[in-house]
Amino acid sequence: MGEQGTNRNNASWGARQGKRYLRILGKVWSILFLIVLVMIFSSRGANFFSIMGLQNVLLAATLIMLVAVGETFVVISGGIDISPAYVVGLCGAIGAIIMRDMYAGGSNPAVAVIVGMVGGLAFSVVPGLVNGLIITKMKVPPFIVTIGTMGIAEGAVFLSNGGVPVRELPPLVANIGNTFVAYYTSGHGFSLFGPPDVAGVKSVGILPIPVLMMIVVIAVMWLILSKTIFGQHVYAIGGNIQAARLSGIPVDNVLLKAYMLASLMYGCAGMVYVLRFASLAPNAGEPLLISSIGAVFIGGASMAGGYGTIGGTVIGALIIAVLQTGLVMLLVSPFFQYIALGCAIILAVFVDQFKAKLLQE
Amino acid sequence: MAGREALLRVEGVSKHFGGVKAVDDVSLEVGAGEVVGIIGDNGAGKSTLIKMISGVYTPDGGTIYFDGKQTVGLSPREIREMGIETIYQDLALADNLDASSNIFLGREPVKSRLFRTVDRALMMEDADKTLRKLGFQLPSLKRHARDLSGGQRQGVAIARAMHWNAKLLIMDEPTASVGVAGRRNIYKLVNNLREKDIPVIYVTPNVREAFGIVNKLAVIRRGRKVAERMINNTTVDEIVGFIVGSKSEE
Repeated sequence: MGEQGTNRNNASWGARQGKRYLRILGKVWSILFLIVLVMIFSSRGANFFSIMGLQNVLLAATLIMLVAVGETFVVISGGIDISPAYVVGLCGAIGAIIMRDMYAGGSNPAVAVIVGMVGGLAFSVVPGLVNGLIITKMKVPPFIVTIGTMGIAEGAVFLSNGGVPVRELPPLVANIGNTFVAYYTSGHGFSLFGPPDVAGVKSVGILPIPVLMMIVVIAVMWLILSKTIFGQHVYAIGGNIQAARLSGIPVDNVLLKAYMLASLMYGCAGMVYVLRFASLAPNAGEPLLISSIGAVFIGGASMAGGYGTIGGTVIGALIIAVLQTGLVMLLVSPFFQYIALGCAIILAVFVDQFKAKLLQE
Repeated sequence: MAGREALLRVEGVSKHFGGVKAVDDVSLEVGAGEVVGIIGDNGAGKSTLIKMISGVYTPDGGTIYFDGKQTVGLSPREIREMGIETIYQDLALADNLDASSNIFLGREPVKSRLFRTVDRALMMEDADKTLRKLGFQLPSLKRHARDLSGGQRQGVAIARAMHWNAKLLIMDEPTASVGVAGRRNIYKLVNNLREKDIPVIYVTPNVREAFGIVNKLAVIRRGRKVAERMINNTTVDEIVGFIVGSKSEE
């Protein structure tokens, strides 16, 4: 390409190069934004560069990421899912109620926790199934359908436990949710799943179990989206649903699976919430909705569908987590978080539109 | 054609949209090695007719046989599997995917049967081979379809149809959005297929173009087939007469 850059072509060559840089910038702007954000907060005294600082961000990002990764599949397919606002709480409530009642009935706590987790996750595909069926068979727009299922889930979660948080879970729950995979104790080295049994020493935890769970789940979702035929078809449907149909892709089937997979992620978020807080508030998912949709769009997904990646969504969720924890570390009023988050989302969609316009020229 | 059973037999198909008769009682036969032109004004019903053949629309009346089997009621996928490939006027490309993904759209090769993963390396290799064989040059197979030129996009759509050893190729106004070189490529492709005895249905609004390429012409006017002529048995004036309705056989 460069060799053809004669005088005549120089101008267009330069323009093409400029466009190339802009295109690369469009792809990596969220990473740059994350770095700049971390630098600004650090310069003001927030501490991200320590094992605890980093883990606090990851912990803050855990629930957002789980929901956002599920939402990513839906957005790439050309849809949107509002239902996690209460589906997270509903799945968590079902898991937590099973754990509480089995434990109260005298079951082994480990059995109660496992049955509760499996129950909550098994149920979690149901809202996605309902969403997917109504969207594909009855042709109702995803936005409206998922607002409807959000409302149903809201009612159901409040009814499930009389409108109050589910508590009195087996103590094992909190143990799992607040344990680190490894501990470092100076003078005693590393130990797994608990500090060494020595009085009077301080241990540093490394990798909280919820974060480990999140990493495993997200790795699997990344493989599904980027490596499988299902993932390829999700992109194809988002890019041109008509072409996908004509080429013989089972469009309805793929969309149904996408909404169910997303819903399973909301269930995962619900279960991790239960483990971390050893209780379940009915509205646990509410603040996650805006954050996770924000993460998806900051991560490079497009409103029109067809674009988005798990890696991008993870960066988006980290940006939101850094905003939240950074403002907390600087003792800024928590309400500013919402304002900052809102601005970040609008910025993300603006960049998306700008990119689309740029590519059309 | 004499003595040979037609590969495709369309028998009296009709399609209504609301009160509009888009296609009304049209019959058509396509035999091995034939290039059959479907010609008519905009809105005459050409696209509706071929979409019934490719399975996008189900006819309200009439039947279609391909290779001796009834195809009415089959999905586009099943009809593709029988060997009918279609290049649509809008090319039906997913703009967010690269050329190789578009060529393999809906038929991605499986790498691991257990995990149903896509074999991208194979996809790239085969896409490259098919495009080369057809004489299309793409700057990069990884470039998204929306960043390709009209001719390149056409190449991807043609490669998608030709990759699967089609028994019948339907082309809906293939030269509508390509330059001179792209046009020449399309004519070459049609002639190659004719030599291999693979029939082509060639939809076009352009009479002169049709005379340069087809063996047989079916004229569609207001949803009805108003005439069918072997190309060496008619004139441009006669066909134009049928298209505009100044001439009729009845």
